Amino acid sequence: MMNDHLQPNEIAEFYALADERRDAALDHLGECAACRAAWLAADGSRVFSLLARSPIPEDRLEQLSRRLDTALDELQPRGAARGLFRVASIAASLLLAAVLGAVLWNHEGPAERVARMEQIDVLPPLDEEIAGMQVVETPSEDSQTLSLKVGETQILMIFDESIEL
Amino acid sequence: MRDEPQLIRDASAGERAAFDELVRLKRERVVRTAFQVTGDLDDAMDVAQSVFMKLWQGLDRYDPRRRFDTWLYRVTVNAAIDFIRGRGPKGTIQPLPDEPADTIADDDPGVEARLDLATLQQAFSRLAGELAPKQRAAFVLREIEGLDTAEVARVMGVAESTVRNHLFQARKTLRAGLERDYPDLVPLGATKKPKE
Repeated sequence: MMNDHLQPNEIAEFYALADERRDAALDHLGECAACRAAWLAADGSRVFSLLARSPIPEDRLEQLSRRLDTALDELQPRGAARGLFRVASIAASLLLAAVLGAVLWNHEGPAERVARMEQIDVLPPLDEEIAGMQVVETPSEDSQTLSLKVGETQILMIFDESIEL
Repeated sequence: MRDEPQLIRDASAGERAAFDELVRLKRERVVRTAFQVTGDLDDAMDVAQSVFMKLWQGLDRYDPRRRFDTWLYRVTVNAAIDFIRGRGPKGTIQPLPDEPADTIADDDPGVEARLDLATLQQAFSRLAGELAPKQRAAFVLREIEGLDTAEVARVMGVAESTVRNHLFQARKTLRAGLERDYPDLVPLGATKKPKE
């Protein structure tokens, strides 16, 4: 397609050439030492662009197609794989529903929960519950200051419902 | 004869014949890209096979508003980079062989001025071993596959400035290697002029 030598503007704007023009230019550059020298004057590493014109042996490409055919034959058909996935999803959903149903069936309702909470009169004082934890002060029903000491570190915790963050 | 968009649609729907035709259409590009990134034709064949397997399994998720070749290059380059990372430093500097490489065919080297593509391939396979995988991939896509910088950035999923940086580093390394080991491949002085 391009037997003539490359024009200076084609060499200068080589990267802007359309695909077909570029292919033809590369064919010519592979065979014309003069044009190649002018083209490579801009950058010697451009020479590797010519590898685009180096064909992959046809027998290797055919070998790839054969290998691919075998591999795809062994692979489950795409539709079948998806069908299997759908069945597995439905089965998992049913199993989950059954487990949740059983849990909820055996779980106490709101009335039972209130009744159980009423049985709890007073929680034991915190200083008896957690080692190292001391009540510093309880100025009102809504606030309390606790102290937690771990080794040399002391942490003061202030609980006050009137504090807005 | 179906055109490419039709082949893609039919293959997406699970038609094997359409997919086989699509493979025929794209296989050389995929193998060539994988070969230039991995530096080994056998490795490239493995990469190409995994690329087409992924293609078959994921083609129905392809967004037709995007360029198919960009997507294909992306899968290929990622697979090739993963392959060379998993394979280890096989591509680092190897001694210069005495015989020309014969992995890639060279058509009738009868014309005196014709560049010997086998020697050129051998030079690239050896010198590109000095590049980081992403530099190598960027160079292959830009220089050998002829993509513009924006397209290379889309394929690699990076910014254009990153691609320019990869290309700058790759060219610098390759020019130095050409000058050092293959001075006959390029005219005197051509290896010393940076382009970007």
